[in-house]
Amino acid sequence: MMNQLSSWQSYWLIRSNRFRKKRAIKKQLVMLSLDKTTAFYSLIVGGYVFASIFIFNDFMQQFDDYFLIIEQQMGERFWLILTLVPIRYVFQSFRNPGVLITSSEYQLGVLPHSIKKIAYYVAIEKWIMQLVRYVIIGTFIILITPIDAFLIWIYFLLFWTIEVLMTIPQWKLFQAHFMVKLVIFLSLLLVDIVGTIIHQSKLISIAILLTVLVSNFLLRKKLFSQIHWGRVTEVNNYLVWNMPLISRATKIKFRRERKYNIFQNMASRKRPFAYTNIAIHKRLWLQHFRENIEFIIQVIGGLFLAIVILPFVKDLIALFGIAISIHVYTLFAASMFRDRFHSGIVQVLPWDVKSFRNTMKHWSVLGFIPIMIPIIIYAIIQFSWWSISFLLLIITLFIMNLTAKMDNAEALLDKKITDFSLKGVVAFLSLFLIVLCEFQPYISLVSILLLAYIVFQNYNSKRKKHVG
Amino acid sequence: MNNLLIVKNLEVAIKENKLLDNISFTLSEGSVVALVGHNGAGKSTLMKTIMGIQEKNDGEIIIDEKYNQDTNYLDYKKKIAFIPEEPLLMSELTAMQHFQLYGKSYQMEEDELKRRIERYVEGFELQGKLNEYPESLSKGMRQKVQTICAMLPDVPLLLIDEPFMGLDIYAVDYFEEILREKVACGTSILLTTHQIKRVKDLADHFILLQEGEIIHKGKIAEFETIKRRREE
Repeated sequence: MMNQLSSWQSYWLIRSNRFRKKRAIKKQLVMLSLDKTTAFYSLIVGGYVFASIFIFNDFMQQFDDYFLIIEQQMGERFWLILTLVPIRYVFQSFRNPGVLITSSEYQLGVLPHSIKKIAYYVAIEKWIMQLVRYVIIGTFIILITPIDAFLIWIYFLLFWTIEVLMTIPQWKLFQAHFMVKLVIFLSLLLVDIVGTIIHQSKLISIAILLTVLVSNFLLRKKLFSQIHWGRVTEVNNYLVWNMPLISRATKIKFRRERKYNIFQNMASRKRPFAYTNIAIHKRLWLQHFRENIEFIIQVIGGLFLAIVILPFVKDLIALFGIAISIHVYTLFAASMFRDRFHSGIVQVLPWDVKSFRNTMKHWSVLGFIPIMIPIIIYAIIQFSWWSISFLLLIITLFIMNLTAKMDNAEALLDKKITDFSLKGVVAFLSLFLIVLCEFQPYISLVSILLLAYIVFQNYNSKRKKHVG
Repeated sequence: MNNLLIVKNLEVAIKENKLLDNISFTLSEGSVVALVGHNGAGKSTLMKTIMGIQEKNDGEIIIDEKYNQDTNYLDYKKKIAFIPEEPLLMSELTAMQHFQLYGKSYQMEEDELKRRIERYVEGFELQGKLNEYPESLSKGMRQKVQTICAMLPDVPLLLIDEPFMGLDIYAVDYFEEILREKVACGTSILLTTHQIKRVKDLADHFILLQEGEIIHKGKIAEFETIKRRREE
């Protein structure tokens, strides 16, 4: 008779096979991108750079003053940081249960193994791995910086303890209603802000720590009651198998299954659509944006931050940044547009591309607003009255670039591949007008011509549609 | 009879690995052709390539003599309805919303769409499930929803990957009935199947695929059997 595998052995079998599979995928990626000779020379160059920076020259010595400031801040702000760390886990609980039970681990619960036991193994493994990670990072920091070793270990011990203590609260919060999470998150933020203002961070941090301890104690018996396993495994499958580098190299995106969403239970969402393109496409766009929300936030947030920061570097660079951000954002909007047609059921349907484009138009404009805000502030500060024509220039260039890229996306969807789009090149080159405004602000008056061109184009296309 | 679908020297490859090689065949108006072959022979890849989901490396696919996949893709797509092997339903849409999406995509009139939904929903016994999300439906019901979706529009070409997969016997009979109706109205069907007996009365021709190549084609009455892999 065969011996049955223990729960630990079964879990370990899954873990080690997952590790092997991931390693094999990464190995394939390396083989695809590097041959042996390139890998060898890259290793030598990498080794040389590392040695020249950290060993032969005292490269890090020039940053000593900064490290001393960091050390001083670490000492002074210990209690404030202690209050902030738990908020991170509450924030994570919106999208991540914190305990990596994928559908494979969950399957073990269907076999003669207890899912509770498996969950404990997963949590303990996570704590051990995190401890190892902290020890490695801590040692590295101690080796290359002059920061007091004791302070570093205290910090990492603090991070690790909170990681352990927040495992249960995050797990239970993930199961809770969106509003519960939001209220807790905002309350913690508020308490933190108040604590900082009245200089009572120490008291607040002790109170938060005690609350976390009490919640651990109270929740310990309800760990596995009212758990939405479907959602847990859906999110964790994505977290485990979404490998951005691999996706980028193979151009195959790992899509989250997303069987559950907070709007699904709303009766209004279940009602049949008004039988119009607008009503149907609106839902399809919302679904598409929700599926790519991380990517959207990254791009818009990144461009927003770039425009906020660049004016502090140099005005010319800030204007370059604005021009590039228009190019990147419009490229991104066009790529989101095309991507809609290559996912889910839409890929097997006939595409009314024009109608889809019309229904996406206001979303593209809406997404540009966060980027436009720092541009407006910068323009007012930098150009005073000229800011009016400068902003008009930004808007017209945005419309021109968006139109050119969407035209191109439309052509690509119809497989009428255009490698060279004159309109696209002109729209791109005209972005340099933004940079030229640094030397002569009146260049922004070109925007009046551009506006006239856009109005003429719109009138033309409407007339064509009418005749058609 | 005119050729509705022309597939010429089709080649699909991923790097060095050829999934389809030198595939050529035609499908006349109102005919039903069964694509048969072992698992991994290239049947589903061929379906996806005709649909345009899978990129081809070489060859031509033309519908109705003027809709070329390479030059007129958006119009080409309007001529096809596809039933994939696994339902492609969206979690965010109810069954009814899926039907509306199909109706709008194929530019159907609302009244006609409603009439057809009513008829097919009754035939497939899906009453009371119209406002349900796919997750609340059984696998068979999801397959029925996907099948109804593709049956709603009148298109010249129907591509069906494993038509009877997951359907109960009553649904299979009903589906066959609709397919016969469609064929009588001039619709051509290309289907993949492992249930040769089931489609012998429906199909008039077969194409036998093996390792991405056509090794035999002819009238369905001439079709005998697929050899087991180890006998080859």
